[in-house]
Order: sequence, then C-alpha cells, then structure tokens
Amino acid sequence: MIKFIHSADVHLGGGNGSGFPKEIADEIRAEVRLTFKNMADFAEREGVSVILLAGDVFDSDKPFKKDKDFFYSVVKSHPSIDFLYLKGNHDAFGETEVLPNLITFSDKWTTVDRGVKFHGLEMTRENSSSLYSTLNLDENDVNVVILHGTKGSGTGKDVVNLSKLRGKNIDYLALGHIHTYSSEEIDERGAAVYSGCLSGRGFDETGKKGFVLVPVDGKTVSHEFVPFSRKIIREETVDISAAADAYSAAQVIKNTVKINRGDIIKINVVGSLGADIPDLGKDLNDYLSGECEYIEIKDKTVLKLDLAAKMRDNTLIGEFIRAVEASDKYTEEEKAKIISFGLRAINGEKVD
Amino acid sequence: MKLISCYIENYGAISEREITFGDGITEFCEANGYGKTTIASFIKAMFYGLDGYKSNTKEFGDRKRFYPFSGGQFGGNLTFEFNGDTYKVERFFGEKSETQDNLVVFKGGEQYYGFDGKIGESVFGLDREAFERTLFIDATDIKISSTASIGKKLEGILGGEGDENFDLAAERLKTAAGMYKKSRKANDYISIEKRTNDSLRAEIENVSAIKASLEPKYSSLSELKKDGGAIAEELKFASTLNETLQAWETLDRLTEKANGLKRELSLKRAEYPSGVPDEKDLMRAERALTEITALTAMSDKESEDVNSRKLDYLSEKFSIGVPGADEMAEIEQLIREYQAADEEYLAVPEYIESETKKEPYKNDKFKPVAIVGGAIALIGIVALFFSGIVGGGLIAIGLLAVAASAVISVNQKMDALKTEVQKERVLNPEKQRLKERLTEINRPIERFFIKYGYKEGRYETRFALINKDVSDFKELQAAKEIRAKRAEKRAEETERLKSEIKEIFAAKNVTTDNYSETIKSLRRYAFEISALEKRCKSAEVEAKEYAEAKNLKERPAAEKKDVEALIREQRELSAQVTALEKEIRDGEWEAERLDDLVALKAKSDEKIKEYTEKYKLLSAAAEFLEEAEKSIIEKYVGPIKRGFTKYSAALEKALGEKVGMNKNFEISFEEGGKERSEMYKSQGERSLVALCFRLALIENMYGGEKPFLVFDDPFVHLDNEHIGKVIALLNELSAGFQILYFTCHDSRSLAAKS
Repeated sequence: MIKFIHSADVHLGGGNGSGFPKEIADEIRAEVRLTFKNMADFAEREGVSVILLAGDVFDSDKPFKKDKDFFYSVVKSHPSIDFLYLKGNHDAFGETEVLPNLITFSDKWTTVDRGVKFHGLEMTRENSSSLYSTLNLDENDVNVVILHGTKGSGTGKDVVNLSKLRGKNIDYLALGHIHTYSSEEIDERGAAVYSGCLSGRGFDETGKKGFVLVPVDGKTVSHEFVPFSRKIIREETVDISAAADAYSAAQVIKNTVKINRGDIIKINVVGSLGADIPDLGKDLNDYLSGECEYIEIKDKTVLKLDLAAKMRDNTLIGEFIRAVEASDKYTEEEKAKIISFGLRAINGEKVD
Repeated sequence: MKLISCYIENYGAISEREITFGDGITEFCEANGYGKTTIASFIKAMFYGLDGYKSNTKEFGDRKRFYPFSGGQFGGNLTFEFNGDTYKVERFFGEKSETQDNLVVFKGGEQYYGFDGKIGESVFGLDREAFERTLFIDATDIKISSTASIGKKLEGILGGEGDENFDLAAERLKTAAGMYKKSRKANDYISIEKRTNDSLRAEIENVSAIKASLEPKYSSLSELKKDGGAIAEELKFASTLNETLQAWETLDRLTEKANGLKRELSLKRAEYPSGVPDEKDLMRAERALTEITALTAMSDKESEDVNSRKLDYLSEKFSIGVPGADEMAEIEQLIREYQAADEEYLAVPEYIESETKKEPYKNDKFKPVAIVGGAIALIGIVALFFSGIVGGGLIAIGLLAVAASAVISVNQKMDALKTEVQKERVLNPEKQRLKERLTEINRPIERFFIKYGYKEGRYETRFALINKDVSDFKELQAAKEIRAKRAEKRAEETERLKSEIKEIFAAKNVTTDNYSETIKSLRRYAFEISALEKRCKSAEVEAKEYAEAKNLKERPAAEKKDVEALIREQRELSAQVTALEKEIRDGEWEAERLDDLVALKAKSDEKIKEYTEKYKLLSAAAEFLEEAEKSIIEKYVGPIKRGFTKYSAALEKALGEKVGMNKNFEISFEEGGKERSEMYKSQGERSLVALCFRLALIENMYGGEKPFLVFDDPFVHLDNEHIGKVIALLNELSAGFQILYFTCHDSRSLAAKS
C-alpha cells in the first residue's frame, strides 16, 4: 500500500488579514509553521512516502528568505518523503532550491512515478484551456492529478473545469486554492478534493483545518480528511435580542456558544434591541475576553425604538423625534442612532 | 381666580390682621415696617407653605424670617375664589419643621381635601419657584427664565419629560461630537486617529520600501552565493591541484631519496666489485682466525713456559753432559761412605783426653741467610701456581741459599771445634786418619759436584739436588720434544687455517694483511650494504605507495594556484554574504510587520470611519435638537415673545425692537448688530423686561381664569417716566387681573400716580 498526503494553501509567512493584535498574529504564523513541520513528522511516522503540496505553500510570490529556509529545512529533514510541490497563485516565485526529495512542476504536465503516477501542472493563462486536452492518462495506472484553482464551469487561469476532466482516468484530483476541505466525484472513477488550508489564519479560515491522507491499495484510492491544526479559529453568531444590557448579552452568548480557553473566536451579535446598549461591543469584549485566547465581538444589532408615543408628544423630545424621522438625509439605522444619541443626551446618559 | 381676604394670626411682625382684597388693583402703599413684604410672603405661604430648616443652617428663609416675634400661632388663613368656588386655607406653621405645620382647606365652608396639600400647584398650575417667577413679582428676583412648572403650565408644550435637559443635551451632544472632531484643536478622536493613521501609513510606506528593498537583496545574495559557489569550486580545484602538485613534489623527493640511496649503494658496492664474503664465510674466516690465534697463543704459552727456562738452565748446567747412572750411583756410594766416615770421624774425639772446657761454638751469622732462602723457596712454591719457571727458580734459589748457609755454618763450626779442640786438647791420631779418610772420600765427591756446578751444600743435599736436576733435565728434554711435535702440528694447522682464510678472501678478491680487521670491516660493509639496500627498498616502496595512495599517474601541466588569495576572496565574499543575510534578516523582521501595520491601519481606518460616523450622527442629533428647539420656540415660545414685545412696547420702545427669546425665554436684544442678553440692560430696564416677560408668560399660561398678581414693590429702580408707564399698564391689566401692589413710596404708588 502506498500512502500520500494531499496538502495545500499552507501560506507560510502569511499576513494578518483579520487584523489580529500582533502577538496573536505572531502566534498564528508560528502555528502555521509548526503545523507544516508536524505534518511532515506525521507523514514520516505513518509511512507516508509522498506529500503533495497543491499550491500556495507560501503566502507571497516574494516569500521571505526565512520562510523559504524553513520550508527547505523541513524538506531536508524528511529525506524519506518526496515533496511534490506545485506552485499556486500566491507563491509563483522563481527557482526553488534543488533538493533530492523536492520535486516541482511547470506549466507543462509533469509526471512523477512513485508506484502511483502524480501528474501536475502549474496553471497559467496560456495553458488554462489546453491543459485538459494535453492530459492523457493510462487507464491502467493509478493517476493523481494536482492543480491549483477554483472549480468552475469555464476555463481560465486558476479555473478548474471538472467536466473537462471527466473520463480522463483520474483517480484523485488534488486541488488547492480553496481553504476549506471539500470532496466531490469527478466521474465514477475519481474524486476532486480540496484539502483546505493546513492551518487557519483568520476569520476567513474558520473551523477545523488539516490535510487529506490518501491510501492507495492496489487500484483502490480512498481518502480521509485529517483535522490536524491544533489552533481552530471560530466564528459564531448569537442573537441577543433578549438582553437588556451588555452583561446579560454576555450571559446569552455564554449560554449559546461554548467558548474554549484556546479559542480565537469572533462572535457576531445580532438581534433587535429595544433600547440602545452603549459600548455593547467593548463591554462584551471585556466580559468574554478572559474566557478564550482572543475574542472579537461584532455588534450587528439593530435598534428598534418604540417612538410612536413620543412622536405624538407636543414636547421638545417629540419635536426632536419628528424632525429626525422627517429627514431624508439619513438611513433608518442612522436615524435610530441619532434619536438614540439625542434621547440619551436628554436623559443625561453617556452618549458615546 | 380672586383673592378675597386673609387673616394673619401671627406672621412676622403682623398679628391678628385681617385684610380684604378688592377687584382690580389692591395697593398697599405704606412706609417701611408696615409689613408689605410680610403680607406678600404670607399670601405665598398660604398657597405653598414654608420650607423647614435646621437649627444650624445659615439660610434665612421665610419660616425663620417671619416666625412671629410675639409668639402665638404662626400663620393664618386666606380666602379666595377659584373656578367659581370659595376656598379658605387655614395654615399654621411650626417654628422650624414642616412636620409641625397644620393645614386645613375649606371649600364652600366644607373641609376640602382635593388639593392634596398642594394648593398653589393645584390652583396656579405652578410650583413655588414658578409662582415666584411669574405671579409673584418683587424687586429682588427679576430672573427671566422658565421652569419646568412654567413650561408645564404653558399647555405642556415645554417641560415634557427630559426637556429640562434639552439645552444640556444639545451641549452634551456637541461636546461628544467635539470629542470626535473639533474645528481648531486637533486633540479630538478623529484628529488623533488620523495622526495615528498617517503615522501608520508612513510606517507602512517605510516598511513596504524595506520589503521592496529585499528583492534586490535576495538577488544580490543569490549572486553572491553563486560567486561564492564559483570561488568554492575554484578553491576546491586549486586546492586539489596544489595538493596534487604538492604530492608530486613529495613524490619527487621520495624518488630522489630512493635514487640517492641507490647511488650510494652502487658506490658502496663498487668498493668490492666482486662482492664480499658472506656472513657464513666471514664466520668461517673468523673462526679460522680465532683458531690461529688460539694456536699461536698456545705456542707462545709453551714457548714462554718456565720449564723451558729451567730446561735451558739445566741444559747449560749439563752442557758437559749429564751424569750417568753409574756415576751417580758411585757418587751416592761415596757420599754414604763419606757420611759414615764423617760420622765416625765425628765420633772420634779430636783431642785425646783433654779436660779443657771450651764454650760451645756459636755462630748465627748465616742464620738470616737461611731464613731468607727459606722464604724465597716458599715464595717459589707459591709462584709455582702462576709460573712454573719462576716458581721453580725461586724455590731453587731459596733452597740454595738455605743449603749454602747450612754448609758454611757447619764448616765454620767444625773448624771452630777443631780449633777449639786443638786449642784445648791433644789431637787424636785416629782422628787424623779419619780425617784423611774423609778427605780421600771427599775428593771425588767434590770433583763431581764441582764438575756439575753444585758447589755448595751438604753432599747428600747436593746429590739430591743434582739427582733431581738430572731427573728434571731428562723430563724437560722429553717434554720439549713433545712440545716441538705439538708446535709442528699447530704450525701445520695454522697454515691450513690461513689457507682457508686466504681462500675465502681470494674468492672475492679481497686482499688484506689484517684478516681480523678486514672481517670487521667487511662485516660492517655488509651491514651497511644491507642497510642501504633496505633503505633503498623502503624508499622505493615509500615512493611507489605514496604515488599509489595519491593516485599520482600523470603530473599536471598547470602550476600551483594562489589558494590564499582565493581563501581571502572567499572570506571577503562570506563576510558580504553574512552582512547581507543580516540585512535581509533585519529587513524581513521589519517587513514582517507590514501585515500587522496594514491590519492596524485597517482598524484605524475603521475607527476613523466609525468616529466620523459617530461625529456625523452626534452632530446630527445636536442639530436636530437645535432644530427642534427652534421649531418649538417658533411654535410655542413665539406667543410669549410676541406678548413680551407687546408689553415692552407699552413701557419702553427700545425693548421692543429685535427682541430674541429662546425656549427658556431668555431674552436678548440686538444692539449695534450684536445680540446681547437682557443682563446688559440697566437695572430699571431689567425690571421692565422682567415685568413684560412675566405678563407675557401669564397671558399665555392662563387662557381662561386669570390668576392674581403680586407686586412687591418691584419698580424701585424705575424713573418717574417709566413708573408712570407701568402704572398705566397695571391699570390696564387690572381689568383682567387682580393685582396686589405693595410699595413703600408715593412715587411708586398707583393711587398717587393716578
């Protein structure tokens, strides 16, 4: 039996798209590196002979030297494993270091025979439509095809048209580019699989992340997603309509979402509030930040003031509300906030 | 409503006074001390009560101020009409606390509870403060403003819940908005955040530049590494070449060394072109030489034997011939005869019968000689162990010495005895005869001994000696013959050995006179040759093995390279690489911040957006509040303002021009293009303003039943002209209002002015 790992979108040296504080961003970068090294260790332990890297190993087409050095050091320190590295849209930098167990691809189909035949091609605008016709695979081989792109119906750079790969004798299509694991059949023979990114780096990469372990037993190719990254980034949405203040909103969140100590979590608070809760986001953050490693509260609540009675008052307040409501300069949400500000100011409450 | 009457039981200085109020104006124009203010306070107290106070308070409120000096019940009653009903309020006060107050209200003669203790509020729709600001007009308090109570009375248009904070609210909102954005001072949130944002943008630009600068550095590093690789290759090649050339040099040295040794060996071998005897032959020759030496030594030893000297001695001694056995036997016989004759002779006295005593002869002068001879003989015996010849010689000498001394001694003794005898006795004839006999016998003996040289000693001793010498001589001669035979044999052997040696050496054409030295020399030579051969072989092997080990097959044509220069170049390059790598490391460290900075800037952008939005909304809220205020002013304050203008026009034209009024009824006048508060007016004008304002308020507050007005001498600051106008106005007002007018001076008296 031959076993290989399908991984992609490691994004070594990745950025801080979610605007984490530096210490969290640094920790995530370190986690990405560690997860990559741990994957290689895992492969060695489990007798995996090939690791497919289906693009975007680096986050930039001008990766830092230290990130390249790190990558090469991992490859060098696992000489029993062949690293088949196909560059993606992020890491199309120049020459890679020549190492005996590091095999790269080009814009032409390249086949690496390790008992299983691995066929890889780095997609360009020039080969984006021809790659399908130039792919000819022997039906008697176990064929693994590696590409980096988004599944789509047409053709183009970074577009993988599954319909054009049907009947091509593909047993396993290792895809990169999409950061979430998914699998679907190409035809009765093969499956198209995104391994997802190896480790989450922001709130656009939430949930369990890892790689796909692919055992090949004779002609039988199976695969299994292995959630591998220790750090999981989460995003949850909680309706706090029932809360009267930030404290009760925090209780609603705690009762709704299980927050773990090591979580990096974003909570979108939604719902309609009968009264404005000043500093809701900040206060929720204060209440919940001790529960996990990092929390971000996104206040998406809407203010639903019962203004009908007040609007009828022949008072300054009534006049104020009427004036705001009559304005066509502001959105309803803005009007609600303006009224909220005004009422809070009139009531002698803090207005910001 | 209308005040009908009041009864003051005790209130300040007034006691038990009943006052009736008429329609229109009721004037109290009295001198100071009459109690005008007391009455006014009493009326107010009947409607609103009096505030309590604590003992230690410094305030001088009405309860304290009007507590009756004379004692008695503090208070009284007041009767008034309201909405067609007559009410009577009986109210008495404690000295300090409201808890001691007593209030009873009657309506139509029946006790009435409808006012719930709040008579003023119920009747006027105003609290005490509002009452004081509107219906109660005195000279001390001409504050022009509204209160919640007034607002409420103004049909509730002003003073809705929270409206009292309206101005504060707008200010609060403006202040809050100002926190986000200020027109001038740049310490608002937006400005601060914009500065942060600018700083981040600048830092991002810097870090971006640093990041951009990395690419050429990567290229430079790559180039440097390529150069480094080339130099390393060159250095490797140069080192290998140099090592090879060095190895060839070493091989040359080794080969030269081997060749040198070969030459040396050849030269050495040339010393003996035919070679040299081998060790076996040399050993044979050496053995032969040893044997020759031994034979020679043996001959030498035999030739040096002491017996040889003895033989020589004896040969010389017996050169005349060796006594024969007969001769020896004859001599021996003669000696025995002689001894016998001598004994006999000795036995016969020399003197016959002579009694002369003689001292025995003593002569020891030969005794030392004998001792010395003995000692020499003993030494000779000892010497025998070392040398037969010497030992024998010494023994002979010793014995001869002993024998000679003995013979001489005996002869002398005998001569002495004879002499003595002769001297002492008569010679015995027998003795003579015996003596002759002895002489006769002695003669041949003596001749015999003299012939052979044995002249000393007793005959028997000499005989023994000669007998022994003869014997020895014979033995020695026999031994000599034997030695001669042996010497001959040794000579033959020696010759044979010499021939053998000669043969050994001749075989290799080695000629020498000194075989022993030559053998040593040849052996040394052979050793040297062997050593040279070994060294030669070793050097050859060393050179060969070295060549094999270093794989030296073909000498490179190139010359040695300057490796040091290459190493220097490599070091310089390495230093450049290290420096560049450090630059890259530092640059990457900086560049890695870019994402964080971008994230921070994005957050900052968000903050600015949020702040701007908040500023916009807060400002909008403030604007809407102000708009609402303007609207409300226009809608509700307008009538007040118009009323004010109407009344002020009646009193003072100037006051009526361009009058402004806010929702709190604060009045302003435009003068010289600037809006000014009524506070800028003179005190007299301000009292008019206050009056006009209150009249306008009252006019708007009470659409139906009008309240009464209390004027507690408010016009003390007016001049006569204005007093006149006021009086005219009050008279005009008295048509619709009941007016209580208190003054202390005729100049302000309505009656007087009228």
